[in-house]
Amino acid sequence: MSDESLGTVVGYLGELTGNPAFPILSYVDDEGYPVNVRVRAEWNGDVRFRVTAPKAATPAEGQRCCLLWHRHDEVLFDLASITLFGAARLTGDGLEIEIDRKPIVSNFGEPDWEEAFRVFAQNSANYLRDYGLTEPDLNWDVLERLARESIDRYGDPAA
Amino acid sequence: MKAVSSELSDLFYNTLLCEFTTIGRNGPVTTPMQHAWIAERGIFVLSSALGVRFKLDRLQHNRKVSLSFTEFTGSGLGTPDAVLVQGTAEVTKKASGVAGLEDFWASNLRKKPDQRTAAFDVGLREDDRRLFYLRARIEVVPERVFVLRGDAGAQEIEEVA
Repeated sequence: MSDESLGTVVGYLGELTGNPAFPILSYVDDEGYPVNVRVRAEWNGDVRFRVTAPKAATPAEGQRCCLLWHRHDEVLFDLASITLFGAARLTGDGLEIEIDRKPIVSNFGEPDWEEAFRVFAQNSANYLRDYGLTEPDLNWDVLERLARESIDRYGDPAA
Repeated sequence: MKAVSSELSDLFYNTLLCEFTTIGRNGPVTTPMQHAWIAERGIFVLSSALGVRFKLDRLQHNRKVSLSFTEFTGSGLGTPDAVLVQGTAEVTKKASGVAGLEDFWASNLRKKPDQRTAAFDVGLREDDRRLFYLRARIEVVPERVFVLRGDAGAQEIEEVA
């Protein structure tokens, strides 16, 4: 990815409330399972983030990694996230993640909702086709029943 | 794996979102996701809309996953230690309406109040917004659970289950 697009994405991080300097670092451990750990990260202005991770949760040189920043409010209405992808670089005095793939950006900037719905619908259709499935009934009656139970138990936000 | 403590069970139940990691050809991919903790079965239920199918595709090739719990806004839990769960996922239903995902939707309706109103919005059933309800069911069986204590970047990591 270009430095310019990474710069735009890094700009979005400033909109995160909470702890913009503390993303989740993910990599795969020796047994093949992903490890997620909150780290301290600082952009170097180019294509790397300098990362402070616990010694017991540090990827090896060259390992694929991702960094996730996300936020949500108390009712899951305001949600936003950014995931960056790259490779671990062990420098003389620490760990850096060299970003080398297009990020996943959700709910930052000015989303093109029309295009987003078009892609969403296309992905849904392609998935059903690729796995040889037909679209199931969406069961609105079941959703309404569950919603009524939830309102009885937790309250009606519209009341 | 040892059974998780009641404190951890409460944390899994009350935390609004986890960070869910699947593994693709280019390494791990982590996204925030809603989860439902099914305490009596000791499993997590997650659900992906088919419109964002990529994690479902990745799970066909690699079922090893992790869920972490590091962000506690709206949970009522204060600021507990972060928790990492490693386990195995299975897409137990490749395409589902609400039936077959009742436990996921019950959790969603508890955590996200506006969804209780949206459930009765007949208008969204007639356009592409209905596709939000066309989903796959993912079940995750935990295999190892770790607690991470301390400041970000300097945590002590203890396997607890």
